[in-house]
Amino acid sequence: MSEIESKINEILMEQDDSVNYEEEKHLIDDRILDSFAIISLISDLEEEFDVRINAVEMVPENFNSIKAMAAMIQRLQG
Amino acid sequence: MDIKKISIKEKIGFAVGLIVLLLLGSFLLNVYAMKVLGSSSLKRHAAVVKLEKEKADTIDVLTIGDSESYTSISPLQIWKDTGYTVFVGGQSGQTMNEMLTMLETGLETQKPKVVLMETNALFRSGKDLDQLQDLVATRTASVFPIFQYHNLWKNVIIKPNIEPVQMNDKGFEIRRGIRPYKGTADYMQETSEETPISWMNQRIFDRIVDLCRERGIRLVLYSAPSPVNYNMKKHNRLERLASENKLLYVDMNLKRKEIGIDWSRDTLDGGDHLNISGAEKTTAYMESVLKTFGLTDHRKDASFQEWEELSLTYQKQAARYTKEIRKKNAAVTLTAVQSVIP
Amino acid sequence: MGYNTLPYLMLFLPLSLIVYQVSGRKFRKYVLLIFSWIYFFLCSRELILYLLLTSAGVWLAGLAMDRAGNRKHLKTFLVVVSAGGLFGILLYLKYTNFFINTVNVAMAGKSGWTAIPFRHMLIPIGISFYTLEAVGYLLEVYWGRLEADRSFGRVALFLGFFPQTMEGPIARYQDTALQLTAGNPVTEQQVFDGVTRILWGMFKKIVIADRLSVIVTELYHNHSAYDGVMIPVAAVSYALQLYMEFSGVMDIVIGSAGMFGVQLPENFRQPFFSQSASEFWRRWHISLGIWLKTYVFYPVTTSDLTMKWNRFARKKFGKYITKIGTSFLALTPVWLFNGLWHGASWNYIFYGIYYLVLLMLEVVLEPAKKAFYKHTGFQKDGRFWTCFRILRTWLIIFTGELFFRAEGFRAGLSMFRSGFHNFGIQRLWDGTLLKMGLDKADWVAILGGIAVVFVADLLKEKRIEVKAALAKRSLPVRWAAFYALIFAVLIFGAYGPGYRQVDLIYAGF
Repeated sequence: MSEIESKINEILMEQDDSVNYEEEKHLIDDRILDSFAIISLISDLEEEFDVRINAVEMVPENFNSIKAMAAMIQRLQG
Repeated sequence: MDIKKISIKEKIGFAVGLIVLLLLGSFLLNVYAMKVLGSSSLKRHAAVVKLEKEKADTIDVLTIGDSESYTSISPLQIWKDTGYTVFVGGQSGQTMNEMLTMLETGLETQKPKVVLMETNALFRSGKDLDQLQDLVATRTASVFPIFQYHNLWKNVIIKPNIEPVQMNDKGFEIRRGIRPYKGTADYMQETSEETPISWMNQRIFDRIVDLCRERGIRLVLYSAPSPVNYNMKKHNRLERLASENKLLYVDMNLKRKEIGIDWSRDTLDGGDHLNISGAEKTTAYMESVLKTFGLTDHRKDASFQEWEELSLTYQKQAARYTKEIRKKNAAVTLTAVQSVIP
Repeated sequence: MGYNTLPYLMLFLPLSLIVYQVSGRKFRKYVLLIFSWIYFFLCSRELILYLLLTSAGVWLAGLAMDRAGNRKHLKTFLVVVSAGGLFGILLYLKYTNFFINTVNVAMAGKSGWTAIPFRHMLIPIGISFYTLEAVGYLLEVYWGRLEADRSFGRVALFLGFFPQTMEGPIARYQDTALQLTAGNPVTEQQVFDGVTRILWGMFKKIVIADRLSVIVTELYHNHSAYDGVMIPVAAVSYALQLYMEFSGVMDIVIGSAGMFGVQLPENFRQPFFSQSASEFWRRWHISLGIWLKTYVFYPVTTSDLTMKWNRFARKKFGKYITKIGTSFLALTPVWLFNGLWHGASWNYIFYGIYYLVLLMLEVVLEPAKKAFYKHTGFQKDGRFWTCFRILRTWLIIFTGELFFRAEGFRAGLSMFRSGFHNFGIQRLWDGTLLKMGLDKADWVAILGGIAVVFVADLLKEKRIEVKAALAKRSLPVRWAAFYALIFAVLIFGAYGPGYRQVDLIYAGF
């Protein structure tokens, strides 16, 4: 797991530690993360990685797994 | 369910089964419906059944229309005076569609010379689409009566309130109540405007005209006196409709002086429908119209014995109710007078 | 021409299917478009101009945004003008009189003020639904998540597809557009599935909802005559009527579209099994919820304002307060929009605020809830607490729908209050309920029907597919099941003398 990915994992575990995030591929589609969780997640990610996440990024594909989130962060840090 | 795995045989079987069940259900419900014809949910349909049960080829004049029809034309009074055989195939709130169905039902067993059409239903309109719905529904129900009688399932749960059906009134309904009409006496004020008739109603009307023409039946339009339902705008439209189709149009609203309608005693419900006192007058007027058509007087004909008997019973009843109304009316007038005098 | 009417089911739908099927693959999309416009015309006559202009405007705006390429400002200008224009039309048609009334009430009694007369507004059918679809499309193109469609026909069909016209579902372009123009032939399977689903929808609509409509109309229209237990009766009856009606019509809609091979998004997922208000809104009118989430909630959550608040509050107040603040910022527009979208009336606005408050409470109480389960050691997913939460959600739903249906906000309040007077629970069985237009047999049909739908929903909730299970059974069982459904609709349906056909509720929004 990359550094970004493990940081994201940390952030997620802080919210709810009953999920094995590394394994999940459908965090949004399976409703493990609801829109309330997303609210905190966005601000955590923005702060942690110093990126700006716009409305355009708000699609399930970007949040369904830690990998997807990491890819998005990397792209935004670009 | 994967439909491809189902054999064509099974599909056909299913469809045939469905039709058989529909027909069987329709048949059983039909049998049951005839037994409980007097229950309130079937009242409108009872009118059709009564017409079906009339002896074949005995009706000379068939009247169709909504409640304005069966409160304005009394067949047994006409029988007494002229010996013409009239039947009123009216239903409360009859739509044009139902009117056509009633006419078709009548033509199955009867060969009327004249059809009297009460015109109020022509202006009864929902949106065209609602009427289309009505049309589809009536047509489906005539093939599968299960659609007509389905609400009878309720009788399993509620004990139906069945009144004995009057099979001998020839479609007329005696109304004994009285509530005067207090609106303007001059409700037929001159105007050049017209009330429109909906597209769908016009189509059905045309069908009725055609049907009568094919059978050589004389179609007569008439409007019962009713300040609630009629005015000059409607008259104008009907007048035009009649002349376009070369039909006789009798608007009793314009003849109410001649007919002698007295709005303080002749209406059941404030000028919507006539009571028996009013109906006697409009019937007498209609007799004078019918007399010009050269219809047969059946009074001497032994095979119409039933009419004579019914007529006797009817005359007694009608006389009693008319008297009652006159009395009540006198009482009403009296209290009215008293309240004016201090 | 509602989807529950015979002209639609017996004439329009079959005719469109036949013409669609006999046309060549290339022409099928035009057949759908023409039938969709005919449908719209039959419902709204010349007001179809609104739909045509919207379709053309949206198509052009999309292309223009594509052309604008990297010129960000031009793109923003285009999306603001086009989406703003669409909302402007909606606002003008639906809210002018509300606005006039508000001004009149505020100015009443002031000297020299004469009340502004109301305007007679002709509102095209389904404008609330296709406007949202159109705005969604524009935003997707604006964000670059979607390439603008070059085909006018497809954009027009996406906005006007006749099964969706009256009540949605509010589809996203990427959900349906390509399916609509695929032109695949109608298969036997599709017809079978469609007919089954339509029958099921008709069952909910005409056996249950149309009966409940009788008592609901009476209770809400003459609300001052009822108090005590009749108020909960009113609340529950309407909530159930709305569910049976809206989800039933959705069954007809999705079934109809499915026959053409178009899979529309689902609008309901057993909402009465929800354990919280927020879950309810993920299961009830789902397509509206998704639209609001995608095009209101997320844009606000990720806006500069929210970001600034996050940065500021995190340092000052910590994460908990920050989240409350962010939630409030993002949920307020969502729920005001939700309320107002249903119509210009204070009770809809209240309805929106009501859910805003409840969802905020969920956010605020979240840590307390966690602590509660932790300290007491209660099993959160135990049967008791699950049931408790479901019942609590029912209470929330019923109360909300009471205000939603009430004839004005004041009426809602006074109904709510009178629910606590003179409870008189005996009225449930002493015959009072039989004096409101429904007889004993009607009630039997309502309760029986609800029981059937409840079982069906329960099975779905447990992921048991009734149709799949039936397929495995023997032929007589299968036939009997279908005959039962058909005859249940035919016999127990509230149609014919004594019943009035009830117009679609959501078509009025």
